[in-house]
Amino acid sequence: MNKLLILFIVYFVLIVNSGCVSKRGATLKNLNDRNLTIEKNELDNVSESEVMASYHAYLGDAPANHPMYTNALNRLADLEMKAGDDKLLSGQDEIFQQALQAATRNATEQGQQNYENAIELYTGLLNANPNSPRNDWVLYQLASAYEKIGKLELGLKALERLVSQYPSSEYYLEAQFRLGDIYFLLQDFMLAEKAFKSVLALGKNSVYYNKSVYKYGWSLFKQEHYDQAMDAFFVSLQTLNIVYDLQEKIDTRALSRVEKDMLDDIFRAINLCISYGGGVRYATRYFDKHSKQPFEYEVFKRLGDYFIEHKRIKDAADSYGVFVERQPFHPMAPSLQVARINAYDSARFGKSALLAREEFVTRFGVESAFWQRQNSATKAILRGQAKSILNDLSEYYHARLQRNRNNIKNFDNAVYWYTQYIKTFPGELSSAKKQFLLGELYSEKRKFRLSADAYLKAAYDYPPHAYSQEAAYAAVETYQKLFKQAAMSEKALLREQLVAASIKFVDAYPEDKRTLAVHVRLVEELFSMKRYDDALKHANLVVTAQKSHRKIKNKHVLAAYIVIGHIAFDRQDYLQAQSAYQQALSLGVRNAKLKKLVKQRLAASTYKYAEAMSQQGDLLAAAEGFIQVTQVSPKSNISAQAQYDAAALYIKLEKWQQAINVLEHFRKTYPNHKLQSGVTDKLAVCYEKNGQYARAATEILKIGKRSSDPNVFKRAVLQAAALYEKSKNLKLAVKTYKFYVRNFKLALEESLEGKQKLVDLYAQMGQQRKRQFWLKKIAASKFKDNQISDRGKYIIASAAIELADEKEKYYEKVALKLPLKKSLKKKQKLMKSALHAYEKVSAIGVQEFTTAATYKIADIYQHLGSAIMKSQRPAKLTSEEREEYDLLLEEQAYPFEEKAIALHELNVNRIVDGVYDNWVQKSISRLAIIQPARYGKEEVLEEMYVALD
Amino acid sequence: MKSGYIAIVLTLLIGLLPLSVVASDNPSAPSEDIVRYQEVFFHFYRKDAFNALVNLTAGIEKKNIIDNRWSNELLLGNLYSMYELPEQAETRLLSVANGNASDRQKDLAWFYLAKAYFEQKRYREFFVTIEKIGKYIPPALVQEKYYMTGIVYLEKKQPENTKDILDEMDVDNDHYHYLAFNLGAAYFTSSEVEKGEKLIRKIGEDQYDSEDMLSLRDKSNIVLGYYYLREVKPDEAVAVLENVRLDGPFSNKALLGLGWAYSQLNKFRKALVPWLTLAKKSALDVTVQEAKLASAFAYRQLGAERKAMLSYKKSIDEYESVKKYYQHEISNAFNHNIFSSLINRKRNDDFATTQALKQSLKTREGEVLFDLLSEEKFQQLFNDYRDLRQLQDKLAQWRYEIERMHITLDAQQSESVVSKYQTTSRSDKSKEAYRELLLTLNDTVELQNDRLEILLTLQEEKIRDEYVRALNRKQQYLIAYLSQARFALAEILDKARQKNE
Repeated sequence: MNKLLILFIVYFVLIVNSGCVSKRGATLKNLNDRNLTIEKNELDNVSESEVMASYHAYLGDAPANHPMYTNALNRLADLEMKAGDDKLLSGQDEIFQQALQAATRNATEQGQQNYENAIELYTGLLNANPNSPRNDWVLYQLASAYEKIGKLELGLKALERLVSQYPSSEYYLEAQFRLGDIYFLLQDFMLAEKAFKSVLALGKNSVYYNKSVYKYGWSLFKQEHYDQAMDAFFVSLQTLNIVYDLQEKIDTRALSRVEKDMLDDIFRAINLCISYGGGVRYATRYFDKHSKQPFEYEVFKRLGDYFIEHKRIKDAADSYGVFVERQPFHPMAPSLQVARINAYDSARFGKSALLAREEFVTRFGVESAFWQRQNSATKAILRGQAKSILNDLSEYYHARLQRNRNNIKNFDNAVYWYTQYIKTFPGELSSAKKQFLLGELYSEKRKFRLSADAYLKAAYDYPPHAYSQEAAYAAVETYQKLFKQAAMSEKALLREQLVAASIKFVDAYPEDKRTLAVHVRLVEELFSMKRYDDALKHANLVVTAQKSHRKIKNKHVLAAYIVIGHIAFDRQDYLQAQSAYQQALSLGVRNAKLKKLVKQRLAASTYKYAEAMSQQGDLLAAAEGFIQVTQVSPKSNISAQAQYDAAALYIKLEKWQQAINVLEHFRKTYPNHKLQSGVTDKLAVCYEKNGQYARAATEILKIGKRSSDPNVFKRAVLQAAALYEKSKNLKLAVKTYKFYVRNFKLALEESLEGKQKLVDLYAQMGQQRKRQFWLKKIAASKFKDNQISDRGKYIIASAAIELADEKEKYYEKVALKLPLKKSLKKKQKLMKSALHAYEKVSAIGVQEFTTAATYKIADIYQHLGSAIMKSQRPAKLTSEEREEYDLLLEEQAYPFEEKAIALHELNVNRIVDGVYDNWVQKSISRLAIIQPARYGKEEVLEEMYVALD
Repeated sequence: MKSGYIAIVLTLLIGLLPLSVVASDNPSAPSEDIVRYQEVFFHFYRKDAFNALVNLTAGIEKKNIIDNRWSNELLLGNLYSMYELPEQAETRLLSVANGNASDRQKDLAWFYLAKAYFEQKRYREFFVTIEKIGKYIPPALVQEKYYMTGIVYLEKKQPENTKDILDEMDVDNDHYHYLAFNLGAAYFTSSEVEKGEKLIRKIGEDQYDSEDMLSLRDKSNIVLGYYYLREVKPDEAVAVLENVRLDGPFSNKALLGLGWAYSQLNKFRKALVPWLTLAKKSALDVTVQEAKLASAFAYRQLGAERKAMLSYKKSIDEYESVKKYYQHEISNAFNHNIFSSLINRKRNDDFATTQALKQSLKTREGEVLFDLLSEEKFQQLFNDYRDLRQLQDKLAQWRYEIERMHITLDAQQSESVVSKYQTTSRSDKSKEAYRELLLTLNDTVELQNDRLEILLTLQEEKIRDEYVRALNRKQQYLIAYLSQARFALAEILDKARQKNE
């Protein structure tokens, strides 16, 4: 029976979830997501030497037994063979060439005799091998040797033989060129022309082409074929690397010295052709037939210069003129026109020179099509050329006007050339005087609008000059005249122009004795035009002037102050506005309506100034400023706003009592004001900060109640509860927290925090039963692991362990006594309940409670083992029965002890993960008592066999 | 297991520990039994056998640890075993097993003794001892007992006995899987490949949570994958190699093998993916070196001649760089600073795992050393060296303590000289005795320190020899790859040239 009783003991198996999270990471299968794009491509430009070097590198490094070693050796030998063959072939050729070159060099170095020796060797070679395909080279060398010793005819023969027998020879071309040279030297120009022509026939790519075409031209010139010669020379020009500069003339800097000489030679030859062909007319006719536009400038320029050199001035002027006529838009056309004027001037052709000047302005002046096409650099050059021309022309016609003032044509001419001058040199000081004189010219003819415009330009469009100040005042005077004479429809515009001219004048010449008069007029005009910016400026000047010029009337100064106040207010310069309005009031405003307006404006300025101070961060001054508004205008709407704002600032400054005073005053003074709700908000804060927690709570609840948003109310209740707690009114705090957790839809954490508060408050109040109620509520919370914060878990675990501890206490209190069945059943039930409670704690997963729970569970098992061993023994057992009974009890108790040890070990093993808290230490201590020697070496398992890798 | 002389020195020094603790402790400060015990176990669970031993022996000596002779003996036996001093462990454990301990203590002593024999491959003693274990060992140790027995049968070429034991085991226990793996591996080496394949395949397919088991699973798939590659069964190889984790310790080998499997299937574009992934890693790893060559080969197979050529050239440059590094390391092995710093690091943080060590060693040197650390022989040398250094540090600490005690005594003596009319008290006599004890200790410490210096020098030489040997071995692999890359480059250029002509 006893055995049955003992076997009745239930063996609990605790499954401790180790909380392992799957550590499986990505596998190689995940690589399948990666795509590679590989495009086929081939290697090219691999040199033979690169291949050989690669094989050498391999053989130099690889061990001789490497599987590819022999293959590489064979392949490299093949490549070396091939390379050797190639060198051998090229080497034979080199040897042959070296022999011939040595002979030639020898001749050069050793003089005539060597040449003759060479001739002998070459002749011998020709005789020995008359049909050798290489005889062209020998003949070429032979001719060269004859030329070197001056035997031109013999050389000529050798070359003639070469060109006739070896028309395909690589030396044919040079032979023809040398033939041409020798014929020209021998003055046989027709044969020379033929030989050079043969060279030209073989194309532009030969090295002899350029020289041949030039010499071909001379061969034709010598035969008086000028048109053909000109053609050849122009072709020759094209062989040079001619580059044009921005002026479209040849840039000789880009040419070598030789090319430059060649260029001069060719143009000299062309001049000769034109000269011999019939001069400018011939040239015009030739170019009409054969357009050589890019070269025409150079041709006519050089032709003109050529005529100047030879004192043929008319021909020279014609040459320049023809070009200007032919290419009027050429960038160098103005220069040639100037050259033409200079030519006329040098010959004193006055009329032609005047016309050429006018033509210059017409063709190239600022209103010409030519001018429009030019860039700024070219325009600068043109201005330089035009300056003296325009000056000459304007002075010439002004002088003529002075001689006859009634001649309207002279007036028009003078105006025209002044205008041309001014347009050509805008902003230049030389134009300023011309501009002033133009104004005087118009004024004289009573053309006031034109003269006002000219004066303004003379006064302000140029750097200061001798006529600036006079021109500026003349402009103001002229506008005053115009304004006076104008019809009503024109007055507005003319007023604008008068004000503009006046402002310019007073700004530019403040010390002028006429300036104050202009100021007074200006304030009147600007105020009536509602141009407050300018009016303010000039009003201030009037106020300043008042202090030194007593003659200004008081009402004018008052108006100036009001204008200043209005404008400063508009510009948010509230301090100045305040000051101006105060000045105005102190001067005495008689008009009641105006006085009211000024007072209102003064209050607004004060408010705005305080507001500005607040924005600048001077909060105390701002708050005092707002209070000041209520003194300036106590009944105005702005006064309420100012009080409210003052309170806000005191809050910012954390001057809680001042803020409370202002707010309470506001609440009393303006009970229906729309800002009353804001007052409640602010009072809530102030009371709390000022330590008046209960009052703060009342205000906060007011805020919550008036809100239509349940969340706002929820937060207000929570806040109020905390404040009641702070004010030590625990009863009210509990009531409010209860209201909070029961009446709102709360998130889990919110609910937990609220309940935790109740737990804490009941603890303070010593009401354990109520405290237990809320602990159970917390512990019963359901949650998903990924939807709860650590803090939330902590609260639940903390409550759960407290409850579990209670259960453990009950469990431990039950002693196992007879009848064992009954007491065991009771203990078992309590154990199960306690275990379940601790398992729940452990499952929550808060580290510090997990180790505690593990420890406690171990203790429960340990306690059961001990309880079994200490259980009441049945009476009347024999000593043998008693021994057997004890042994059986021991066997039953053992697994529980083992379980306890295993659980403590589990706790202690957490040291490896860095956990070494109080509970782990307690587990060690417990192990030290129940089984200190239970530890063995924990090894990481390793397979003994080396796998098949 | 530690080599002979080192073991003797260590034993001797550990024997000295209690004395030195006596010297350094304040005799008047009482120590809680439990605190000492907690300290022992704190070190024990951090696998710091040395400090656990020091505290336990000191506790026993000073009698400030729980007075349970047999428990403490058992624990000492385990700690010696853990510290790889099997003879000392055997002595302690046998004294428990044959002494007047409880049945439970005796069973545990037999178990640990069997384990010590198992580790020393003393299989005859193992079988005798294992039979003596009674019913008082916990279930986890029962599984370990099965595991050891199964392994011993494998050593004795009796796989069928191992199979019987495996059938007895709890399939959820890690030991079951390790034994299964080893049995599978044994089948592979015998003619029963199918049986081995079945066992290892199962491990490779099962789901696990712990890092150890995931690692075993990876290894099983590697074993199978390379077996299938040798048997030219590329589809099967792909299937198992794809199951290996990308960030596991076998990922390099798996990436290389997966590439070759696709290569066997003529899917060179697919082969390039794992090879290029691998080729980006550190060129000190042999698998990475091979992957570089393999990816160039794959480019060539795909007709991307230029990429192949560039790939070979890049590989050659990198191989050359590594080769230079090896040569430099070999010639400078005798004044290798990084190597010493590794030893220091390991010594100061003896809790660090090799994985953690690798994390902290991002340098080239670190990688070579990490490879070495995974070799059993090197590990043994290294651990011995580390232990000697640890002891040397302890000795230095004791020397300081002894010196400090001397100074304290001297100060007290000069005070008594000032009060010269005082008669010699009893405490003066005990101070004299204490001074003598300190002098004796000092001599012993000095003597042992000299011995340690010699041992350390010898051990350093051995480690260096091993280091150079490992570098030479690595260099041989590298030279083979280098030659292969050079030939392939020459060939690809030669073919291109011929084609152009």
